[in-house]
Amino acid sequence: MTNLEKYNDSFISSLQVTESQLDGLKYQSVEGWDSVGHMGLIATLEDSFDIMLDTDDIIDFSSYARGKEILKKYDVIF
Amino acid sequence: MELIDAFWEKRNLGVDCTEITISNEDTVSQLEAITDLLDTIEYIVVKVPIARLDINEYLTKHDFVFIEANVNFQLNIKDAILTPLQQRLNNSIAYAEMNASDLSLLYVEIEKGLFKTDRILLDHNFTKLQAATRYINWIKDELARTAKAYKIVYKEDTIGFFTFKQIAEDVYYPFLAGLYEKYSQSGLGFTTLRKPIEEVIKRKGKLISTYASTNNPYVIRAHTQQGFSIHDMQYVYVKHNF
Repeated sequence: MTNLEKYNDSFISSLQVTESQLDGLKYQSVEGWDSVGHMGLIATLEDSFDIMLDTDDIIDFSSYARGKEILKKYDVIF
Repeated sequence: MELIDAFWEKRNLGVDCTEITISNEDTVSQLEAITDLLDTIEYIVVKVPIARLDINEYLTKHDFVFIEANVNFQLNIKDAILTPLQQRLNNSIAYAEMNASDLSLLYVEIEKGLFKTDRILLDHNFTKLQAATRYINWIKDELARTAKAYKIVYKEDTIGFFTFKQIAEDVYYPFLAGLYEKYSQSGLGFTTLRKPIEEVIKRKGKLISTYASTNNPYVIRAHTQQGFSIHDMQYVYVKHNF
């Protein structure tokens, strides 16, 4: 599985969205991405990529696009 | 059936208001007996127990509008839940009692729109300013009694708040909480429930009893995720006679 596939699957499974919804997806733009969903998403991403995000990065992780930028800091290449 | 003259709403909303709480033993005929009041008081709020369709039907026929279900959540402190990730984040979040400057900031945040799903804001008969003023006055009234206000802090930045009071022996009620605008999309909303739990632990309390509206599913989800269970529910109807 590619990193992009793992990244997308994390969103799909955590937030109950479809792949077609990922582009432009932002915090609170769908029902599933509230504070509870956010914790689930971050935990899934940390497990998928075997990383531990800094608190500042968790706070800043406000969209599908922004998340990719953040994960690059953890050597996740898309 | 309990009738309360909600005189504080004259100050908050500029209307005469009566709040009626129906109990399971009450009958429709008791509402019929106060028809004059139901047709004349400017703003009436009726709280109805669940599964009383006779009351619901009576109110609907008399131009009351269903506005929310009010859910009473309770948590036995020993049942509080945090995921490993939440525990990790929570370790870097502190809370402290507010001073006057902190309270001023809180009131600014409320006026900016911190609360988005209350029955006043959602009611087109009232304004955003009235909804905000009502919250601020509620906090001030409670702080003038026994309540306390706390700020939630991350790296010396205030991210949110909660207000808190004791309502019975070992029982506490964090009656308002929220994240400030800058952190409203941070995912740290769980701290607005967790920090009151920590305060109860510090005070050696045993139970939290609090309320959430079904107009705010995010808060409902947050409560259930942290171990709260539904203790009771009321359906809330309102009517405007102006």
